[in-house]
Amino acid sequence: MTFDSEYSTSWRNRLSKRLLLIALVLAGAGLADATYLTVEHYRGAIPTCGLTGGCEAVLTSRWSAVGPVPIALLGSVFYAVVFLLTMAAWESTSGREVVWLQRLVTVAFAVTLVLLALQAFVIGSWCAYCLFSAVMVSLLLAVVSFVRYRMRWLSG
Amino acid sequence: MEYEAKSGADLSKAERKQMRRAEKLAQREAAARRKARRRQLRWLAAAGVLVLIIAVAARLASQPGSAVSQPDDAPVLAVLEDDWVRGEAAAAATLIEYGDFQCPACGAYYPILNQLEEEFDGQLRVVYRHFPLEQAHQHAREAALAAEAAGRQGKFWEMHDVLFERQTTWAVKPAVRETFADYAAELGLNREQFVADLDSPAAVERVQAQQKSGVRLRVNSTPTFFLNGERLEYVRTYDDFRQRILDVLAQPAV
Repeated sequence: MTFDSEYSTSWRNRLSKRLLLIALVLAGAGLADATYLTVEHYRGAIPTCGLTGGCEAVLTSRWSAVGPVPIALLGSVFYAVVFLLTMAAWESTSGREVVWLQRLVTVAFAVTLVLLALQAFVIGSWCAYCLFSAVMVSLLLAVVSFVRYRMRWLSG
Repeated sequence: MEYEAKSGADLSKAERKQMRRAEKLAQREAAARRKARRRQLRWLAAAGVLVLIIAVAARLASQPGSAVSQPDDAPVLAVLEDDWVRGEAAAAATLIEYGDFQCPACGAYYPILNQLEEEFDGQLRVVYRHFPLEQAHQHAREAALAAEAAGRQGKFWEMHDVLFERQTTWAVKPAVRETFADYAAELGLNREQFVADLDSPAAVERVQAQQKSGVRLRVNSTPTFFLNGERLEYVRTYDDFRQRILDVLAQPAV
């Protein structure tokens, strides 16, 4: 291994690790957001209508839960798993975790698009907490996909 | 240092080589142990952060807002002459609701209040005051005016009920004037009179005055309830309400 290639490889690893750190922060923020809504849901709290509005219509709609399971809880579990997987990817040398991360976040992104469409076309209101989560998922997808792309590029 | 140098000189070449190798191995093992320890620490920190995030979010969710009412609120919290009241005037418990007919949460509380009025018949009276959140609900003000217009013909509460019961129907319509006029006709009101009253300055003024009184009480979301002058925070199920009313009824009359 020449000095040059060693240098450039380590540089790339460092960038990937930084990106994973960003993913960790995004997952943490999403977790806080979703957990807040989950706890509100299980307290039986009817979200009252605030001056800016929107949340109550979305969070009381029949789309806010899949059967007995509130979507907020699914969100909490998702973000917790992403958090731990990102941690594992950070420690791992194989990169398998990044592949799984990308798959998981892609599915979540698709679900987010459906939820956004429901807010726009069916419920007709926007919920700030839900939009925040949508932003987190989108950024996660971008970051994780970029890490995956770099990984492939490095190994291939 | 001296000892090492001496003993190093005494050793054969093969022995020295072996020693160096052993030293290197020990160093490598120590490095691996350090690495493993750091790794453990990282995971521990991650788990800690995870638990912290969940705890903080849960704590925030269950935190009630400030519930203290000021002494100068007393005149506003008394039942006023022009308030819409349902229930016995002599009832020991008075529940004031600041509501918005288009607010889904108010719609969700509506059946709960009905049930309470039934259970505490004679002991509970309910006051409804307008607090239309226009930025969020485009028909909120018009709905409040519709209730007022119906009130002019003596059917405020009937219109109040219809508006909440059919909230999901009219809330999504682009225009609601005709729909409200239909509801009025259905309630047996004079349709023309009702439509004319929708624009009456008296009704507009009353809705504004009630909203102002809400602002004075720092109402910033709907529904906001006051039970015998005390703001109810996080009373969100039928049983919560029931308990609070029972508490009030158990207090000796002042």
